[in-house]
Amino acid sequence: MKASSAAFLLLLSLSSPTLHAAEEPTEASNVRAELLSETESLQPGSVFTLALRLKMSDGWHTYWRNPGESGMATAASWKLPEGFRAGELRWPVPERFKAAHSTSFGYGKEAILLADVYAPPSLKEGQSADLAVKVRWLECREACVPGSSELTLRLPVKAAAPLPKTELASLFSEARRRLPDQLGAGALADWSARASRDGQGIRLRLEPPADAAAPAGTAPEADFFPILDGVVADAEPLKVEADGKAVVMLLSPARTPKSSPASRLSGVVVLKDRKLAMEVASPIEDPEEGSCNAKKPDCEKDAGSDDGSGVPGLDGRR
Amino acid sequence: MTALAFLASTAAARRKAEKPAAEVGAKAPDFGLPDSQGKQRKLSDYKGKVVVLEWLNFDCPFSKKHYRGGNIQGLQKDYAAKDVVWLSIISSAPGKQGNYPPEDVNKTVKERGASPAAVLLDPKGDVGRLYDAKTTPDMYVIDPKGVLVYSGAIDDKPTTDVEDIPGARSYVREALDAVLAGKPVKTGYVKPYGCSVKY
Repeated sequence: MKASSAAFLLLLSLSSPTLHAAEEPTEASNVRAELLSETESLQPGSVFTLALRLKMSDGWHTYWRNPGESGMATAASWKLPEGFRAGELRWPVPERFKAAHSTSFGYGKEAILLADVYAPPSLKEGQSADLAVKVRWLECREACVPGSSELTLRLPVKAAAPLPKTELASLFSEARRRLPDQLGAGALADWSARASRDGQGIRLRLEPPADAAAPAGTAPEADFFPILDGVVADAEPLKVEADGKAVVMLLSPARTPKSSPASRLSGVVVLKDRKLAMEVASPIEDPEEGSCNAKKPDCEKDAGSDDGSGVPGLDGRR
Repeated sequence: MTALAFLASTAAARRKAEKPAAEVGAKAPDFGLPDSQGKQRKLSDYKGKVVVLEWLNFDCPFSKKHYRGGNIQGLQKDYAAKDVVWLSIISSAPGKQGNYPPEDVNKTVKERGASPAAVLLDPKGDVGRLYDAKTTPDMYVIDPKGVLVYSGAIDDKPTTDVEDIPGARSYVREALDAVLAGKPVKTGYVKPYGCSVKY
């Protein structure tokens, strides 16, 4: 290759394009990011769905909304035309990554983060909307590298209800399949959860409906991914037990000096043997009066409000 | 499939809750480590002083953020003037990111214009585990009585962007100002952010 053309190609590859057209994936070392639309157009005054798709190279991962004990959640800042509003990212069920002495949550191969976007009613057929987003993430294997990508998508405005992009239909349905269900709603309407404080931590009991099949196997396999900060630790559950069809998990309390104990537990439960993942939110019941007493010497009293450490009430929802 | 009619308390995962030795509100556990100049140091050498422990990995993007942005250097300088002892600690294991021979540690400290009282080398990770250091950076503030008064995040912007430093709430600064004024530290613990410590 002639020196001059080599130099020219080198110059091309060093130039940094700021915006990328529609679905062209962006190469950022070990993560490729794309912005995809479920539909071919958008309808004024309605909601449509976009996907931020991150594909990780072998061995690399990115992070969940709560990254765990290290790492950094993927973040999206939207630049949308006047009147548009993007909802919060919807996160697929994460995996747990364990390193020496620390645990984190994220995605090993691919993460498809959905976002619902509202298009204002003032739009007119024939217009088009330029939707832009800056995505920031942390990609890690052993070492970690921050990455970012500025992505754009142009959608035409049509009065009629939008048609789905057939070639992306299975991707979007797969993305929805990977979202956790909501306990107490939809398919899990008859499931219930109860969280209570006991000496060693927070006990979470998940009760399937009476007519649920017994799970496969005798030993329940379950994990808990905290959403709210400062309630339970990110570490694996201390204990997972079956009680009939119910699953009872004992979760370590978060490492935080408590002036007032957390009142709400929120997180994603994965029941591996039932192949279920559900988002759970439950108030935490205090132990009965007198349950921490001489008869139960290993039961620790919650730190009362007189320990002087004065941590303001944490509502660190990530 | 038959339903299980009896209480099956099979424990699929059983783990004892590990309490770290270092607890906010309690005496910071003593330890001894060599520094990057070959001198042996003990925490108890600094009895009567305010001490900051900074878990450090030169190559971690979160640590780099606070050095590139001059945050660490600024804190070190401001508080050295108030007789605070800043100890940086490297707990990266041999062969892992952040583990450097002492000469390289000294070189990097100099290049960055940092001024810790010492950089302590903890390749076995004993002190990191003693303090349950999870990330780089992970910050600890110890008062003159030897009590751990703050543990956790350096500030409230868990990103790798230098631009986020000026507007961030500095928990380390707050803790140091409180201790130096003889007041209680209001926020004793904030979940730290950073890369995992490379034990």
